[in-house]
Amino acid sequence: MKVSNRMILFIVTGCVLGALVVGIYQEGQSRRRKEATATLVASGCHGLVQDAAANLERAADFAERQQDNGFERGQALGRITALRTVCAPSLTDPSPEVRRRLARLVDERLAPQELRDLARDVSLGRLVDEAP
Amino acid sequence: MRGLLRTAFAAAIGAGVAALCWLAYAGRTGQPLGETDTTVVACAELGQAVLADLDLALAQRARQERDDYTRGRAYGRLAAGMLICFPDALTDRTRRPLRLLDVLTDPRLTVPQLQWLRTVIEQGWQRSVPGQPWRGGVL
Repeated sequence: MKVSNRMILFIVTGCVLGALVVGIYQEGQSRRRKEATATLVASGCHGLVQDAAANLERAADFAERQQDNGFERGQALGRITALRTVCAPSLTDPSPEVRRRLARLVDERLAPQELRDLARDVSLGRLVDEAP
Repeated sequence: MRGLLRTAFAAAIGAGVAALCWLAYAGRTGQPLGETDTTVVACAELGQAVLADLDLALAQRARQERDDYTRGRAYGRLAAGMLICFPDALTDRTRRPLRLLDVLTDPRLTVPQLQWLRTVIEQGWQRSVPGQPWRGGVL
């Protein structure tokens, strides 16, 4: 079968147009999904901040009553580190000061007031997206 | 008329070839839908962190040490993962993800129970796609 030059031109044009349409469609899908995820992440991150602060407040309450607060302290740290991972992934490593304060959470003798200070700072975003 | 048909046919072939090339390229690079965005990567990291916490809790429990803090950290990360990475998890009609969290709150959790929980979470994290419903194992 003899293929004319015009036919070759049509096929090449079709290739380019097809690639363009598929590319635009994929890009649109990707952007829509990213926007939906961003909205979701933003609301989830807000909830996480509240939950982490509440964990620290409860840990302080337990400490005041001289009860074990390991589970609450652990939850708080888990949520704060998750916040840093998912909600602020562009941040570099925490500052030494933030790292020191978070590491203090391991200590079961942490004073109630220090826990409440941490709760306040988490609520203000100081341990998540800015250095104190 | 015949010329028009020939043109349409050629264009259709061209479009088909281009679409196939695109899909083949996307499949080869493994990035068909731009899935390397930061949230997906962060969710994968979070999943690894949950599993690491569970491993540590398992080791502590096996040595009969206290694991409240480690279990709590796993709980915090798992809850965060469910909240952010798998949006429907906390409203899931079956409550399966929530039951996973409930199990972790039990201070009398045995080593086999903890091991089983780790397996369910690991499989669930592998099967689920961030932004879509949790597809974890059956409890």
